[in-house]
Amino acid sequence: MSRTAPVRGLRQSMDWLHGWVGIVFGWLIFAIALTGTASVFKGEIGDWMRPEVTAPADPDAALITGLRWLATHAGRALAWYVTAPDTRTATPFAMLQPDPAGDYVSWALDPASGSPHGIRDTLGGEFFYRFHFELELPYPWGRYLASLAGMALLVAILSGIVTHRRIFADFFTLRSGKGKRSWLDAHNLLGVLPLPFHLMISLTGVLMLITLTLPWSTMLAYRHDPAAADAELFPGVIVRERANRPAPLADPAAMVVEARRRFGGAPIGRITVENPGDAAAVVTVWQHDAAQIAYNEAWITFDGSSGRTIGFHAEQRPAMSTYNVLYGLHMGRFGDTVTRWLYFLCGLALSATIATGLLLWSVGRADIRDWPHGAVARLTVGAIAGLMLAAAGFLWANRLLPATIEARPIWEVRAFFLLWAAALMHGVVRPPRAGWREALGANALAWGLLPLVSALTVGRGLLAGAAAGDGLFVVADLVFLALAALSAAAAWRMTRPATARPARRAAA
Amino acid sequence: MARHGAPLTLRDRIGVGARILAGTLGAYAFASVVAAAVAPLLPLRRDEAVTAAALIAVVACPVAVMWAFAARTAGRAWIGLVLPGAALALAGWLAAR
Repeated sequence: MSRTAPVRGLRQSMDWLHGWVGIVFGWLIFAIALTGTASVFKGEIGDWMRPEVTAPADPDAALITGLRWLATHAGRALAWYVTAPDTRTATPFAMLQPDPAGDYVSWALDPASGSPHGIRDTLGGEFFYRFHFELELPYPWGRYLASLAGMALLVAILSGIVTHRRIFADFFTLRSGKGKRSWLDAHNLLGVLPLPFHLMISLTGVLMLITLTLPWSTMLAYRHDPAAADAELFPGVIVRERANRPAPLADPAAMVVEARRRFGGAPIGRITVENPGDAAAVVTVWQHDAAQIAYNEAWITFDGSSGRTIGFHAEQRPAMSTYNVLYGLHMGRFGDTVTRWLYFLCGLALSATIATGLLLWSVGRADIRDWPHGAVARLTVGAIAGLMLAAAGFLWANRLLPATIEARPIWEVRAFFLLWAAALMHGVVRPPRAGWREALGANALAWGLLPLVSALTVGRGLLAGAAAGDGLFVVADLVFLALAALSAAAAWRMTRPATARPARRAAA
Repeated sequence: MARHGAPLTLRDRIGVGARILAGTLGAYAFASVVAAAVAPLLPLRRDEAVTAAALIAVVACPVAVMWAFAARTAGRAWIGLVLPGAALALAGWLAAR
């Protein structure tokens, strides 16, 4: 990476760009990539974090139960949203918008009783999913920043491809134990082998937020009239003013039956009710995203008080279908178990590519005494190992926080950020190599003990589960143990003297 | 970092700054023009045209970023964004009229 302006040729200029985009956005992109990777198993993480729920649910029945629960407990809301349980998520979710200014409130419901009672209050996998594109920042700033990071990743990948001399040969090259050369080989191998995935996920990630980031084509074509745009872009979605006359909701069971008939038998993903309890109530039933690659493939709208069908749309427009398929590719909800594990592994590879890239930036400099490189080396410890530790802490908090404390989900999130902040500070004050050793050691302990903590607190896990056929809890424990083993192996490597780098004391 | 290569002149610094501006704000403005101007040029219904144009704009954005840093000089980087951007905007404006 040259420090001067990129003037010497395409490859050098792209090398320069790749390096600088990487160092400016690398930490942020890593956090987004790793939480996105965890989000592949959003449903499963949610189930693991709500161990009280054991019964599988009938999705249609659970949707109806969820609507009934909202009707008795939140009749006056602006809108209700109910998400169906499926093969990967045991609980239905009920969410509501209390008033235009209010925050959304959501509950995971017990599929059997239809109530949230008896289930520990947690964000579950939703935390990683939301962090992935909202970064815990207020709307819309988190989404803007995530879009910017996504574009930076896309630029980093494209410029990385141009930089590459021997893209095919690097499939087969991994020289271990050679200091910088090994990090570079790892960076290339992890970056090149799943390259189609990396390109797809970064491009589609940026695409998902274009209604927010690039609204100009729509705004100009519809002369700044969003209602007109929505009516044409989402035909069959009915928007009505509140009538301010109370009216009960028609039988949702009949709407579910009719929706499934119109969807050709495909399952239902979620139901939204606008103006619930009002004469102008509108019920929209959305086809499940697991039924096809495309997102939002079909929906049907009912008049809330009469139950009459007032709108239907099955996507057939080429451009919109293209967009929906790209959107669905990013979400990966269409995938079976094998596809999901591939998404998960490719996501890990992408995260590791970013991590090794950040390491290369500082390892490549012999003169790490120079403060910018020293600072990068130290911050990278907390940004990578610290984030993994924070994720483990989030799961520990889920098991250890009492079920009755006020604002329990917020405390789980606080545990995550407090640990991350502590790990970042630890990385800054310790010499990088010692920092890595200690942070990775802490990861090995945190992930390695998690199955034990979980088994002691909730009784479900590897040992009990293997006998009972409790697949999710067995696999979860195995993943935690694998993460612990990886961390321990990496920490152990850090205890050996560096081979390719003299002047180790310089870093202290 | 000042240990590698020749020292930076003021001219170099301004050049890098101009490229960074071109590769960030310039590239975003270029993508915005693509989104807004391509939609009326496409022989599609309005709802399809705005979606297709936004899809094309997303691909135009990283290309513009890479151009900003690949161009031989910072001046060329800006010219390469402004000229096609202005031409597209004019064509789009004429088509939308």
